[in-house]
Amino acid sequence: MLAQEVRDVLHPYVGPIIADTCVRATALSVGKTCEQLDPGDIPVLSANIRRLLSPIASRPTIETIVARISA
Amino acid sequence: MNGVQLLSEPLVSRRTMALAVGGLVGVLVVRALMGLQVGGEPTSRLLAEAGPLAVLVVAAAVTLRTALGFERGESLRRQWSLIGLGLLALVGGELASFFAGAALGASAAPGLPDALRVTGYVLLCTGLLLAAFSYRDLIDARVPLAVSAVVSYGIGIVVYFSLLEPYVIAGGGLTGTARALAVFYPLADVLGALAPALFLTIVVSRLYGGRLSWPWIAFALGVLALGVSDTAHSVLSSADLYRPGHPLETGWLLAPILMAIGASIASDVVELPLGE
Repeated sequence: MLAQEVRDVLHPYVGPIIADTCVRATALSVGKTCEQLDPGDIPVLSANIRRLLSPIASRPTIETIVARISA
Repeated sequence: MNGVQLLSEPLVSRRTMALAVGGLVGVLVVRALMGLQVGGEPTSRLLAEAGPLAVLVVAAAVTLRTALGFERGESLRRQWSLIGLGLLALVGGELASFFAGAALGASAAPGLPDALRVTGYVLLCTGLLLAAFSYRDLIDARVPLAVSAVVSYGIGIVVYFSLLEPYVIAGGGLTGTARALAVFYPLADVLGALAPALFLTIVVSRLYGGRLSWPWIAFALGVLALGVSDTAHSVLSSADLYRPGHPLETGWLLAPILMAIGASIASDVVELPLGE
């Protein structure tokens, strides 16, 4: 499931709660539940992760996370 | 490999490990030399002055290096720059104090050293608060802010009424501006450095050990060590119990080392990405 894979990538950096926040924020923004997120939502997911993490992480770190999610 | 293997991937660089090991060994060596009175009192006095200054210089340099490692416009660059400049101001304060002491035979207070130290506290406090508030879109910061304010002001009140008021203000060991500064520095530590550090620690604790929290936790421990040593120094000085080489100086050595480790880990997060 995409939502769980994204949480797994984010977890080592931001812990379970913020990882879940990023996923839920994306699901809400596209009118889906977390479980309904699919590979077509990856661009929105990436944009949300960039927006939410930019105040607390560096650009290279965020791009590493986004690249792993996109892969 | 350019990092130290922890678990399955390198998470901490050789630089960070060198800071941790070298710092700890350095503290032990300095404390041993002072404890054994190697070179007599002049050497102890020199080590008491130069030791904390040397580690503070390292902390300022590592922090500014970390700050400049982030791209222009990045939030982390702003936060670490303010903290690094704050540490640089504290270095300036210590240097000015050292030279004033050497030239005048006694520390002239208040003066340039105190102005630089206060500037250092303001910059440090601002950087730590910026870092804590950067999580506001992800974490409700109101509870951590309230808890840190209550705890810090509580500690400030306890420090004031149980230590500063009876020993520094009423104790009579210090007078005039020296007494005012002996009251000011512990309270500045608690309210200007410990409070924002505690706020930041509570905020990043919501990351449950996530890698982005590591730099701030190490840095906050350094601020705590600084606060404890400054408070103990004020109280002991006012009771005329402080002498160069006192164990409380360990905190002045450890604090900048912990701060430098925190700043170095912040670089490690960028330099050693996971899953590469």
